[in-house]
Amino acid sequence: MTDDLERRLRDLLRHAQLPSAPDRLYARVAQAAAAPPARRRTLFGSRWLLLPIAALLVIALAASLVVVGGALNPTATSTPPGWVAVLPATGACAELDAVGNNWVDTKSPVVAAPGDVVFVFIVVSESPSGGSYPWDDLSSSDTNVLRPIALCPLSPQDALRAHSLPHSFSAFLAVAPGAATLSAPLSPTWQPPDAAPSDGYLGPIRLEVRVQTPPSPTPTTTPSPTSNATLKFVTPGPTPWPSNACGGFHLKVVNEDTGSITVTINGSYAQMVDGGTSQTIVEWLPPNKPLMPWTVVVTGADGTRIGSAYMTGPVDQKIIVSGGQMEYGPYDIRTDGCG
Amino acid sequence: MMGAVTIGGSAWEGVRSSRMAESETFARQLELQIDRAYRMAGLILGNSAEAEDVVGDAIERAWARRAQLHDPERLQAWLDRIVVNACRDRIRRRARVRMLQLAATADPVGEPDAFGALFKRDELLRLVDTLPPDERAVIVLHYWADLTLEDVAGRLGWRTGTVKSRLHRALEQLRAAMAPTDRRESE
Repeated sequence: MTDDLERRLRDLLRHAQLPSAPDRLYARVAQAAAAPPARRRTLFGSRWLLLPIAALLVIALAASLVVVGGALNPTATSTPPGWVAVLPATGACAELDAVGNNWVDTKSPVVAAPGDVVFVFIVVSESPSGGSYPWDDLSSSDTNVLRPIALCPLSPQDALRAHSLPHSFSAFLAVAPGAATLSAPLSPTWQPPDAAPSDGYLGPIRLEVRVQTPPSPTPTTTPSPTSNATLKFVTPGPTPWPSNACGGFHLKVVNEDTGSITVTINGSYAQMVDGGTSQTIVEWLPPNKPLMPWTVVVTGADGTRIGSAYMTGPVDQKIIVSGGQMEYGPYDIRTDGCG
Repeated sequence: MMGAVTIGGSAWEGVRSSRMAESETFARQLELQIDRAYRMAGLILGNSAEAEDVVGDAIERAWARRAQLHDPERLQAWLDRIVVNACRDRIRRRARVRMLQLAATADPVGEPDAFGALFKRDELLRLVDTLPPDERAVIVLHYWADLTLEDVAGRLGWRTGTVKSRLHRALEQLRAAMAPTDRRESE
């Protein structure tokens, strides 16, 4: 009797046609991976993690943006972070529209054009020891090339968005062609936690910025997706990182396998890519795409899931499917041309 | 034109890149477990919406606590434990929440719940659906996931003897509930 009951249970449960997990759950993994780390406590009740403190710099260039036909209405455009700096020439505020998630190590110089504003946002992912910020102020080695400029006062909305982790925020104006090093020595008042490793802990920050004139600026006019204003983007000079140089976000999907693959964005069909071909999905071209961020899911011809990615823009991305595996990363669309 | 990059402090490139690689690896391994976790939760809860809810929370919990997983080979067992415990909590919470039956006309075009339908399709599974959460979890882990009683004990954080007694109790309960049916069939 027991054997029979157990056999029936086993058969019924194992042979049941069970549904597959919805794509939303895969998106949760990508979202969890993209979310900033939460504060953690150690076993010893310390406020600070015993692992090394991770420091992040966010560099952003702005001010090549020229508005044609009147000022942008900030409420009509998506300019979320609201990090702003005073532009010396006009006294106006330059605003950074988004922060990319493209990683460049500090050995690679950041390239800016004269007139660009270089924003530097340094975040410590855990509270530093001693209650003090680890670094002194960031300074430029050559103010004739890269000059510090004042930040605009925070609006009440910006104050609400204040980062919960220790950070510093500075802005520099690229004045003239040349090279300058931004550096921030460790503050003499800062002491590493007792448990910190003696080697490889926080060090001074150094970042080389090269200011160079773009070879031949090619103005292109691109309609803004969120307002009636027409924005004129000036194609930047060579930079060490890919960007959405052709306007809007681009996702190139390369299918190196023989079978076709299907790409969905936020749960909606976006593109089928035949074997051995590639397609570029463009944020602003019809058919309409969902607002970013995108949860991109790639499935094979038989419906099996190959992989997923969470994309926030603005840095263009490339997905490569090969051998039933999916890889993705930043993509410089200029290698293919804007088409 | 605006561009933005994020870069690591010079002393941290190695640390950061290895952490990123670890995170990517963990994300891929976690994705491989999602189908199993969802089905297991669906079988224990008998409801796909609740299963999705539980597994979604489990993903976030697993991600936040990934540093505690020292052996990647144990990911499945580790995630199983998070999911099963969340399911048991969910079922216990049901007992404290008053459920109101909606009118039969509500959502007439809605798809029937896949897990709910499964438990209604068979008399034995309908009885499994009535078991207390712990017994139900043992049944699913042992008969569906094909785990040994020792492994079930590991997932639930119990001693093997406790698993044995819960399984025995569950089978007795099922047998008792089936007895009238069996008797009718033999007559």
